[in-house]
Amino acid sequence: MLLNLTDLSSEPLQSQIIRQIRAKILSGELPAETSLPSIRELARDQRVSVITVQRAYEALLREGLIHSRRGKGFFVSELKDNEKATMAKERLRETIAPLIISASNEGLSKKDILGTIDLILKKNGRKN
Amino acid sequence: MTKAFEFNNVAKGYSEFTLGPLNFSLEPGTVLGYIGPNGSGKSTTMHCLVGLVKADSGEMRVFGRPTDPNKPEWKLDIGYVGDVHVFYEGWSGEKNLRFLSQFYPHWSDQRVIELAKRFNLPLNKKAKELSGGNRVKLSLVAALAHAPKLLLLDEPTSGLDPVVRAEVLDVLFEVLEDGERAIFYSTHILSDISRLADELAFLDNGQIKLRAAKEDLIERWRRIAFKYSGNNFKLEATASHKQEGADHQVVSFDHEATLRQLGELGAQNVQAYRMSIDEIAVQILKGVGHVENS
Amino acid sequence: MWKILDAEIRYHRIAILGSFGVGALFVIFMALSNITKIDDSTTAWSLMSTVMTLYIYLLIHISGHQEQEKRDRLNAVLPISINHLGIARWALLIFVQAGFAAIALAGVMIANSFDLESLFQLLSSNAFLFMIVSVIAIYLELGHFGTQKYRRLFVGLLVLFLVLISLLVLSGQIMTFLKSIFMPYMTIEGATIYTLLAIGLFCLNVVIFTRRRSYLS
Repeated sequence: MLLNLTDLSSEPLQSQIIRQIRAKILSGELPAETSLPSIRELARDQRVSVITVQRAYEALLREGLIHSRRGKGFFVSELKDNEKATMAKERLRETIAPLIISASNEGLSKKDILGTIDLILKKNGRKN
Repeated sequence: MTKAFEFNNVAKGYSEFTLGPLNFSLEPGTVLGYIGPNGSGKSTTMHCLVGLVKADSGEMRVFGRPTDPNKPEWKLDIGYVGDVHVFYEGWSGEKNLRFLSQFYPHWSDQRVIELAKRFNLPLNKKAKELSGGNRVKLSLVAALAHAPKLLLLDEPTSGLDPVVRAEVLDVLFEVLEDGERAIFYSTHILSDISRLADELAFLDNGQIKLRAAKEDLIERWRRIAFKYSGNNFKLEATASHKQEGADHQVVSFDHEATLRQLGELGAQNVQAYRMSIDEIAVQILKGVGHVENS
Repeated sequence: MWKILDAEIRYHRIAILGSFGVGALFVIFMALSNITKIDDSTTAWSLMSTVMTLYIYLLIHISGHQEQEKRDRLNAVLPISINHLGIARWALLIFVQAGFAAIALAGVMIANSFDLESLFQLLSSNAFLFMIVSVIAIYLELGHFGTQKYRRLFVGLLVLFLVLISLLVLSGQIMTFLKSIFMPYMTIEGATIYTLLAIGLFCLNVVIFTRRRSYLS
């Protein structure tokens, strides 16, 4: 599995791993029942400590994104589309809440904020 | 599973300070980073374990076997890179390694060649002609060549250029892959262990002040900025506190407690930032007295 | 243990071979030129003493290396029992001394003065030499205990010994004392006692080494 982990970000490695694997699962890049590398394999590949990967996998297990089979390792869980959408919405809300609050503190109105979101989506070729 | 090593009430007294009593152990499959200021006793800890120094009290075990100088089988499981690198100076690296290979049944010459290549170490040069960095590399190759289950590393990347340092860390990550080996890594260079270590132990003045899982530290510590104009308040769980007027900046080692308290006080514009393990380690070393044991 | 001896011999190969070579030539020359026939009973001793100077030179050369290169530190980490290490450290010196004794013995045979007395003389002088080396070794070892008190005690004992000797000199008893030491030199009883004493001191040396508090030189 190809991940892009960096020491330069203020985001800890554990979060980066969780976020990137989650993104791959929710986007469908890792379909259900794909087997994930073992904790030790991933630790060695990404040059991170075992405990970091372990915690990341534990978090993904708790979110229901992956499951483990005794003796066989970790696998991507089957998620219905609406489950995926709910999770993605959760994540979005968590991530942008502080950004929206500081934007609003800086004087932007709700209209400004929504307009900016519109622009971003247009630029990335998505419209709804 | 048997612990890779155990220290039970180990103490060693010197005129300036006393090391210990140390009571800690290491599980196989884990990396324990050992951090502390110069003179805190890090090297001495390893000297005691490996038999270079006799502790005044206590006992140690390596994979369950007591560290008895008369029954040295326990040493076969150890690969040690110390603070001083000793060789037959008049012999080449290769000859030195051949001498050492006689003592370890699991020695692999192939591994020696492979590692020497990866570390860019010339094996045909006499030991006395090797630069400081190359001497470290020779010690590393000697320690790794017999695939020991426990690696005791005291500043193993000192004097190494960035490329070789990355190779050394790569090799260590590979070594860990089977989950049965353990690494006890003492260093000042925090970036070495910020990714490698599973747990960190902080040594100050001969005592282990704190031992915690690296991820726990990253989870608990935050830099917190907030606005508050009140005066008489004492924030709990903070390692440092800067103030300019009503602007405050604290370093907290239990951010949930601090944030809760700030909420009760009614502080404004509260923002919490995560800290890197390097920053956390510096804070711990600066004011080790403040920090509670986890 | 033997691995260390082997390594040490190979490492000091040139110095050892050189000394043996020079020693052998010297001894053969002396044996053949009948210089030692002035007093037959001291043939062994005079041959032994010529190689002794070379021995002392080699000793200094080797132990200089040892200290300089801190090899105790290297050896202490190896998976060998501390008792074996204690013996192995001196194995080289014993080997060299045995070599020189053999050269002296060969010289005695070449000079045709071989008899039991010279054999015992050889044994006794080697034993004495070894005792001196052990005493020096013990003094050095006692310095590794984190305190100087053991060394001072030991030096105190030696000083006491010297005081005794000087008392003997003053009281005129020194000749009888020396005779009692050197007469048995050439007897089997003497040779045995001195050899046992030498072995005893050597064992003491090894035991003190194994009880060191630190091998960090």
